[in-house]
Amino acid sequence: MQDEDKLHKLIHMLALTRGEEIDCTTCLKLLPMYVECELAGTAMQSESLLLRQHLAVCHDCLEEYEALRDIVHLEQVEGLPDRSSLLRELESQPPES
Amino acid sequence: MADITVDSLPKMLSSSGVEREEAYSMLRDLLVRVALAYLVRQRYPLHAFGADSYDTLAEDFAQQALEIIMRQLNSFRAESRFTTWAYQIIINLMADEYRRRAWRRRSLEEGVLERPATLWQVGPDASVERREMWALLETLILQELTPRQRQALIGRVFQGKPLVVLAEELGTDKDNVYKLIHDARKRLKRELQARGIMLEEWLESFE
Repeated sequence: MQDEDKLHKLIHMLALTRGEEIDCTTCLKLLPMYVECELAGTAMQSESLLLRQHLAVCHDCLEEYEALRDIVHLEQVEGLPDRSSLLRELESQPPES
Repeated sequence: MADITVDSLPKMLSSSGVEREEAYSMLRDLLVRVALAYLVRQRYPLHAFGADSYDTLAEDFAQQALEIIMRQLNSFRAESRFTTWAYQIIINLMADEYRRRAWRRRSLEEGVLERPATLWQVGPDASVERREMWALLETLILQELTPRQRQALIGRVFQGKPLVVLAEELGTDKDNVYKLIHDARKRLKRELQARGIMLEEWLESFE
């Protein structure tokens, strides 16, 4: 990341900073419910604002939220692929460096 | 064979005998498939984990996740499907392990550990406004934060260190690192606001 981007990122994080925020453990505990509500098109009853704020400032949790959402969505729509087909796909794809 | 559904897993895992074993086996299979699906999605190469095969790698993570799930079984509150809760656990395990290893590789390749941490380098084309932003933030970071807050913030924002790596460096856990960075952010924000700085205006200047 270029230094200009780092400055931008820091200022963006400062702008999003709130007095009260949830930590990563709390965020990850809420993620399963949040993901299911999002995929169902319903609103999570409480704490969703704090959760979204945490995802906006914590890149690690954001990555895991997106992965969980995609895998649960895959399971809902197509079903989890079986082991053999997943292994075949892994063996055949060129990996990210 | 017992009639196993996803919804019956928590109860069956809490039981004993054949019922528990079958539930355990079903959950293990699901976790292996989630681990593989995660690897497909992320396109991580095997060497990123120092592993010989995807199959073994997925089995190892599934086993670790199972141990955590069984320890935390009583904390499952059925606010989501049991499997979604379990999938989050294995994804977190794999994500953090990847981050640790990726940082270690990057440190060795780029010599990050050998260079002193500098916040940034102002390019020759930087505007006066940018230079002033840099200068003020640098002053505040160096003067207003505690050493641990500074180490956590600089590590995260300027060196791109994952929280799990910072936690190990600071001898604490990820939540405490998050708190350090949060406290640092609050302090910086307060100091900037006290100086009449409008962060929204600063952000607009990047557009």
